[in-house]
Amino acid sequence: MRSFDLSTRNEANAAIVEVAGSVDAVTSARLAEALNQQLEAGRPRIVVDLGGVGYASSAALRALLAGVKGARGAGGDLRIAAVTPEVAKVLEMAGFDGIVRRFDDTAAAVASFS
Amino acid sequence: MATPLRLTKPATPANLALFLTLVDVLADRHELPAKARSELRLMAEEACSNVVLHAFPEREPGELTLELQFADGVAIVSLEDDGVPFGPDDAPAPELSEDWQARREGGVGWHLIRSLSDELDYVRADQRNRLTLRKRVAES
Repeated sequence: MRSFDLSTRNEANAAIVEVAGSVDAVTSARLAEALNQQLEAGRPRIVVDLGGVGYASSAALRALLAGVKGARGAGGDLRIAAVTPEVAKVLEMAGFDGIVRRFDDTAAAVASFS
Repeated sequence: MATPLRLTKPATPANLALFLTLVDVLADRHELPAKARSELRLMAEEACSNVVLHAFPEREPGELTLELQFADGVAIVSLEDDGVPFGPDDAPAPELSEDWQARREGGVGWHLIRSLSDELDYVRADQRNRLTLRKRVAES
């Protein structure tokens, strides 16, 4: 089993979901669930920090897209930060660059909500 | 050519981890570099996920056989199942729209498989899907 870790915390401007490890068909449900929890708690401004993610498949993209739709539908947004080269390649291949706003780090992504 | 790695299990989400572990075993066995390992795993995951998600829409999942071979720097990923026909030409056109509202939460699996494989061969025979993917992952 490949590693997968997820933690969440709240700052004034946004909820931050930090993910590490492999986000694949096996683990992506946990990311989707964490994003849903933020939306259900009334926190539609979400930053997903992908700095520790070395592998992502289309299952990860599905979870992120569902999060983007849910967040924007609730008047917020889901933005991603600290994207590794491995994940950037998948985002690019899948044409995701125009869908999700990407920032160099979490601080910049959080600040973008100000 | 080394002995192929082969696993046959019901095509369920719960078994995806086992199929993906087989890919990791092949990568370990041949000490593939990180980039090749990651791309091989992604190609295999998308192919296995397609079977799990789409091949058995109206019945209990049948079995998926995943076979992995490595020869002369090329990884050969073969999948066989007895689900409904689901080859690259049966899939919807790749959904790569940048319009987030229009974008479906799927539709990129085959696109990734095509992008990551060097050769793709799909055959529907004897009521079975047989998909073979070849990808160069190391110098020969």
